[in-house]
Amino acid sequence: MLFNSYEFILLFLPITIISYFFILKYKYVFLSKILLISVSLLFYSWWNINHLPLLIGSILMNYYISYSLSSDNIWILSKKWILFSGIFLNILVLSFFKYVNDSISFINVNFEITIELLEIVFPLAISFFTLQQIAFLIDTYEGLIKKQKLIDYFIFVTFFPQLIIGPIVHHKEMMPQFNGIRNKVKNYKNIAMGLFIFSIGLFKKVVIADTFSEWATAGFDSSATLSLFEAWATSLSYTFQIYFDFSGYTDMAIGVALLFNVRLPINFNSPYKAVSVIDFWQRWHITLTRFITTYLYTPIVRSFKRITFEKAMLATFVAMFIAGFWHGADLSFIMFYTMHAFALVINHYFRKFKIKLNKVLSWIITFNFVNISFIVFRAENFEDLTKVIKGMFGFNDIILPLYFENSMVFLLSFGVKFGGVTSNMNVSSSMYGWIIAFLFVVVFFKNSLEWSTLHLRKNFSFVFIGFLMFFSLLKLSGYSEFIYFRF
Amino acid sequence: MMNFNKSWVLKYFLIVFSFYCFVIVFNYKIDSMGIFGKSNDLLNAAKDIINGETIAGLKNYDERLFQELIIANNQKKNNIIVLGSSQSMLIRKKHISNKEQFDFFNHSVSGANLTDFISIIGAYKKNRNYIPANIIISIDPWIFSKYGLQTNKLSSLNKYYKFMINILNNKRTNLINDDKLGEFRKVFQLVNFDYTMSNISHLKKKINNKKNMFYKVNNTSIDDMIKEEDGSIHYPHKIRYVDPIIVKRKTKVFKIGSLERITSDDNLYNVVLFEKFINYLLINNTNITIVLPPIHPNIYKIVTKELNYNILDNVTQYIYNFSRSNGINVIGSYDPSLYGFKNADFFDGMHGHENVMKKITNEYKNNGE
Repeated sequence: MLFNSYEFILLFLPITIISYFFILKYKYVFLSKILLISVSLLFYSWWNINHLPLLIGSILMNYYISYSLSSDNIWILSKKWILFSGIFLNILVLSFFKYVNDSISFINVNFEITIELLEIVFPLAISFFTLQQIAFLIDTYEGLIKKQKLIDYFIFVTFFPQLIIGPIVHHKEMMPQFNGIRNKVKNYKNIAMGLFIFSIGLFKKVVIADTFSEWATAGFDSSATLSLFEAWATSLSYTFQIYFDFSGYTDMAIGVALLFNVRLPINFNSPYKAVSVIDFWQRWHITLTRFITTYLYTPIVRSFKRITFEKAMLATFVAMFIAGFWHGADLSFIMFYTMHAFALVINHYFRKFKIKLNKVLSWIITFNFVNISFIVFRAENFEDLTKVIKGMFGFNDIILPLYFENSMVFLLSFGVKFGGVTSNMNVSSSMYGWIIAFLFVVVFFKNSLEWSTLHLRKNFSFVFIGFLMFFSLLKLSGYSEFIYFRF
Repeated sequence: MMNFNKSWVLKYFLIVFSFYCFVIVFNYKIDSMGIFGKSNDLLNAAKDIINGETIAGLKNYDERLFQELIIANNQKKNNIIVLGSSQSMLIRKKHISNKEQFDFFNHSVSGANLTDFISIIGAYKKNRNYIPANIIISIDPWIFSKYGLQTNKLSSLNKYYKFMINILNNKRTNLINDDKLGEFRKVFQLVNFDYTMSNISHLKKKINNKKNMFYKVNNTSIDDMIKEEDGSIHYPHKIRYVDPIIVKRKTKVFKIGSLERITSDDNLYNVVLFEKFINYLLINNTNITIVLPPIHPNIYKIVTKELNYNILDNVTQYIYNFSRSNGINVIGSYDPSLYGFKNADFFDGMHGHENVMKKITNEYKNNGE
């Protein structure tokens, strides 16, 4: 089920919340947990019920492994063996669904042979619930987790607001919330805050991201060539689309969880305000960065006998490469993360040698680097990639609006043309205005979580937020998937 | 005194509800397509078409309701009609015959499936008590997929589908309850974004003294969506004259799942109903011609070679076998190479330019004359 669907907003969510607090009113805590698990499984299987056994099987398997790991009667060596087996099994299942067909396609395309693709459909959310459970196993091994009840573990993994595309939650921040007594009563502050954030998230997805998506698609998929401004508009459209799409989903997840008095971790903190690549990764998909740092980077660094700066950089590189691979066996994801790995290493060298750039210049470099790297992430093939990059660097036409033809006729001698500024993309030229407007929004405006803290208590904030909700609901007539659904 | 947060939540719901009420009243009052009987624009458009006019500017309208209005208000008896989806919308009267004296109408509607074909015949039977003597049916492959019977719950033609199904199953017909249900389903248009935008645009036009949603034209060269008196259409210039390079690119990035309901499922569905429907037409002395509309060469290659889907071959085979045993003429082919169609003959992955249908229906013309 999608957050941006009528069935979720008008039926599933209200019915679930009313039932949940109705049950809790009579202090049936166990029953309320059963309800939460049941609706989460319903939410998951709405998409494809065939994958439900996989989710349940994965939960039972990991619970059993973590149970064994936390048992006191096991040798330390056996524990290590159990942990590795657990991680191996999780990765094996993930790899089967995620990489087998991608690898076959890669081989077919690059070696010009035909191996039949397996008839498997990628199970929704497998990347996310696998990561979450691997982290759980490692922490159990490290002795950071006490034995958990199966029902609590089920809620931790399946809690529907975060089940599909995160944020990737950590047991430390979730488990206590599910059992907190104060969280068992209806809290209007959380409901108001939840509705506030959910409405902004829905608007970000349905209105903003889906609009930028049309322009990104027009540029990447439908245009034979792109002039200078069109190429920049195409890349920026995708840069904004992926941010508003993903952060919109996260806002909705945070908002929905708040309705149940559960606080999910922040996942985006105005990433396009970042003034360095290190800063960017501290603001973008924060829970994934946290996972990479804790469960990939740190163990790699700890595996070295002597830690040096160069070895730490190597660990950064390897961790980022694995993160790219986690997105899929697709060259574009691996290239995206490799580019960022290089940038992070360079950034660390700047810090080491105390090279400081002007803040504005740093922002310009960072934002443009991120923007260009997203072209790599989005492009379906090398042809698309070069088309946009060539356009952005002026290797194709430079077309100015006809309006300037008389006043800037001298530019003709420099190869500048005058004509339709979106003629290759076949979209409205108002696109440029929106891109500039949203560039200001992402750089100078506060993000939705800051907004909710600042403005919820202001008079008439309900009018603005209510309007966002109404407009998004009205716009919900079509179907549109979240970009991160495919991971 | 009510706590601030509780009051905020209540006011929030109240404001969302108020905005909804406003938009419901707005859409009901403006009613640019006449769905609630508040505007006669769609009826006027239908009447103009019936009276031999060519109209332009009609967009985002209820195509199925429009067919109903055409059938119900046309006093002439059509000799030849076309049933099909957007792929057959460019079949014109002049492609069918050089003779002047015959009444023709193209009833193609976007995303048509078997339910639409049955419904349109039902509308003829119910409103005019006849079935046209010659029917050209353009069969898209998804007609025989799982999705081939999906009914559009909002469709104004649903009542005719139920009416015809009863006839096909030799049951007594009763339209009263279905009519009521159809009326109820229209209500969803009141909260539909596209309908709201259409009403805003309608209101703007009215304010600018352009009273109708459409206008009459006397040539088809203008840059707008045009509907001819024979029901066929002309697309706006950006589609009509689309750059073939763009088309080529678009078809290359076609993804699995976006193949217009063409799936890996090799089974043919809805065969029994299809045969019942065709047999009913044959018993009523209707001449049937089936058109298999060609698809873009790249898409054809993706479906048959890269994805190895058999649906196109299976449907073709089935149609040929069924037609042969029932004396039905089949023209066209999903395989564009059989007619020598290239990238430049298409404006997207599934739709050919006018020359595609012209070339195919030429066979009909030759057979008929």
